[in-house]
Amino acid sequence: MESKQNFESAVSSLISEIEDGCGDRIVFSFPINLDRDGSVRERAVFFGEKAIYTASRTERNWKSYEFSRISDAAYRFFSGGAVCEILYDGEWMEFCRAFSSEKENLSQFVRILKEVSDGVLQPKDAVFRYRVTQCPKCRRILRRGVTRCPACSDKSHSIRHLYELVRPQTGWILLSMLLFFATSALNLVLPVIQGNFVDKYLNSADPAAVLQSFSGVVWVVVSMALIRILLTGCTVLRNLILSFVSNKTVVGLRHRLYQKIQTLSVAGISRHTAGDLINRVSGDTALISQFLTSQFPSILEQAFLFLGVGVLLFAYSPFFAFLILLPTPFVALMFRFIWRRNHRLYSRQWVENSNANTVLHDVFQGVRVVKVFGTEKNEIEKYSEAIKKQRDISYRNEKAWAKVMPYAEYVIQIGHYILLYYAGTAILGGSMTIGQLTMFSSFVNLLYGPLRSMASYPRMIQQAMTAVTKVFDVIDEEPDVADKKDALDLKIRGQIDVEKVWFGYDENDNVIENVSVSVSPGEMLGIVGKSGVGKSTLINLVMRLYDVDRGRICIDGVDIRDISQHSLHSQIGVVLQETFLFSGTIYENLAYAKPDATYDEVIRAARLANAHSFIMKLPDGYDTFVGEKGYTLSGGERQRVAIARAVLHDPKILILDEATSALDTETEKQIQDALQRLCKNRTTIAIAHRLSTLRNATKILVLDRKTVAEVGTHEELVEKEGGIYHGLVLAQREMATIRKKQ
Amino acid sequence: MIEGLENITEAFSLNADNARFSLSRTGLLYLSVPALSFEGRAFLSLAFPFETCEEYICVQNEEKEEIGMIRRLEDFDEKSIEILRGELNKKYFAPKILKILKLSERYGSTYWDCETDKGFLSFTVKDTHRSLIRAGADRIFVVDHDGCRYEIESVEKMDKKSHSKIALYL
Repeated sequence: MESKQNFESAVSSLISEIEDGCGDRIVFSFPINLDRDGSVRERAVFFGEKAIYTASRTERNWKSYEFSRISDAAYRFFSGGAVCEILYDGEWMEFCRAFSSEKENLSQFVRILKEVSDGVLQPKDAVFRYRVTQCPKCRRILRRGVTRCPACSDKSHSIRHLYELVRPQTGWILLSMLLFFATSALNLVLPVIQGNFVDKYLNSADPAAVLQSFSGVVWVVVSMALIRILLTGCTVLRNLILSFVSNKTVVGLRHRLYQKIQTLSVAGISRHTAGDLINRVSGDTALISQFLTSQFPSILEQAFLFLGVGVLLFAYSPFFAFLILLPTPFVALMFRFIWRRNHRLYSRQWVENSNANTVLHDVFQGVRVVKVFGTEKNEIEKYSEAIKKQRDISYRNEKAWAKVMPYAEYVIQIGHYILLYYAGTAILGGSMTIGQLTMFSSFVNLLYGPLRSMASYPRMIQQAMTAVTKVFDVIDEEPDVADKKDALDLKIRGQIDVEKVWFGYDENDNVIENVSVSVSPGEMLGIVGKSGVGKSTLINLVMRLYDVDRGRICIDGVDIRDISQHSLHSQIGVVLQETFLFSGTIYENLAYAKPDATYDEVIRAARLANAHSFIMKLPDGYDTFVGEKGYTLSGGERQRVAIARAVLHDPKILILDEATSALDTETEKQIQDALQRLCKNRTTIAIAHRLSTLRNATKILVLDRKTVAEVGTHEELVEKEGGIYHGLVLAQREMATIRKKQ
Repeated sequence: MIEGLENITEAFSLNADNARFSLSRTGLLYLSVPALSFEGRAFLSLAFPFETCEEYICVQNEEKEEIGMIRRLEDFDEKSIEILRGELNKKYFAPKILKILKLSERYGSTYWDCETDKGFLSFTVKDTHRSLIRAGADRIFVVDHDGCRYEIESVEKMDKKSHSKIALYL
């Protein structure tokens, strides 16, 4: 911390030195921790109005590079970090390098630098947002865009989240607490009655008097039985309440989490794996619910019991209380030791379980590949290996507990033996009765119950807190693509204007740069280009699956960021190369686009998509179950179902992404016909490798090297000799000729 | 493997006889290959970065197109080897962990304080068991949450305290 403060003050003094020495004004600065030779050293980058500077904390020999001599800047990755290069006096040179943790700041700096060198930004107007990926205090990883650590800014945030979950059930929880309190109290009453019973009746000095008051004996037995019944009643009621609350909480939490996941952007969801999200929705929520409604109250009950017994013991005899509690710190220390050693093993066990499940998941998903390559034996070995690891870790874990628990029990019992010795001596000396010994023995048993539970409590609490953190990490996540408060519900006509759009999935690496194009309502725009030039990215942006970094996309003159996502998505239809069908019937998959569609509408859509005839050849027609991901249908059949789904959706804007690329000629023709019908009177954006499919396009956009290379009609572009489109057409013609000859 | 398609399956093999690597005045890597009429900046990429760091080195131009492949670093003279090693060290930056001073676990992540060949470094690793990449029997790469890599050349040769800290994750 001290070092950090020193560095900050060093940066401040460097700013003053640079400003005084160069007559410049520093607009922003940020730290980096890597030197150009790859050694770790505290450095800083300064962005002034006249130049950029870099200096190390220790050497302080800052070096300046004037904007007037910088004509370009580049950002390059390397494994573990990134480099900023500048074209200075016509020669590329490395300006600085940074760790991966600092790359977002570096890429932002390079972007600003490029804008300055391009002359589109004045250095004094540069705005830099310093980004941190970790809390400097507790080192917790911060979510993207978060600059304040939620854990440090609000120490009680986990507990607050937990309270938030049970708040709707507060009444029930309080009632169950009351019942816990009652059961603890009843448990304490029993030993007192038992002690009195022994002294007054069983071990009475005057047996004749006992016989005379036999009704007293009956009353004691009856009252003990009644207390036991009451105890059972309270326990049953408590369990019923907890079961009700538990189910309600877990359903509520899962609903909330799932709802949140649905609102996240594609980028937001992609940051997690499917398995991770499923685990959070099903596993972690169940763990939290279990903790809140079962383990936490149990911890409270044990705590009540421990305190109650402790108070009673001290009230009866502080000396005996001290003897009984003597082993407590030793047992606590033993459990602490083993817990510290084992909690990593538990997490390792979790990982091995997860690994074994992943192997299963992979094999079941890729069962066709396994069968085709005949690698069943390898897969069996792989799974055996995974479950062996699981077994070994589990064994190591259980072995540790199996070794320690008997010793812990022994230490606990020592307290009992000490009590017996002193109590026996006291009874013989006449200062204690047998009834009191019975009572103390019962108290000891009650007291050591919570002590034994200490072995499992840290694990329960740790697991629950980790689950809370994981679940609320998602719930608290700010969606990257969010609706504005006053987002419009627009009735789309179909005019699309892409204006000077820049975008990169990774902020540091643009996929498209400065792309502009317009499509009028009812027109068809074809997009062509090599793999990786940003064709699919452009349509992802039009669909607003991601937000543009710069520029804007307008529909009917309105920026799509001002339109509600529901309104936008409900008026855009998509047919992709890789069709996804949900597990269900063909009818359910078609009606997914319009849940209230009538049978007539569904059949009409299927006819339009050339799907009806193949559907009717299936034994169960539209009620045919398509299996997971629709694998019981062929690629062409799935594609036609997807087109019918888009037809039913009746979108104003239609997007086709390589919709026919993976099909045979006959099927392709059928689908082309279907698509032509579908495109009629709709604004369509189509990506296609087979240029013949874009003959009907009003306009064709050729993307190359991240930007627009050519725009025009098919005829215009074909005539443009030496053009990219012209080259593509010639290449495809050649391929067609070769195929014919073969 | 596939006859008649050698022009696709076989890369242009770069060696001391047909290629010359040099550093520019500003320290950037340049390559000259007369046979390909290539002269310009070059970027190195290891085909198997976890397996071997001196073999199968792909050399690309600024557009990330392959110029050729260095089969073995030793196919070059000492001076070129030195230049190429320096460049690879910069590209595959991975401080070597000499000692693990502290390794704690919170919020499902592990927090490492290490002494490395580049000095003292602190980093955070998410999903630790899966972020330790084995590169051979005893060599391990630790990948932190930002994607930065740290190398443990030999786990077995680590001091006892460091070994016991990392053992549970291996």
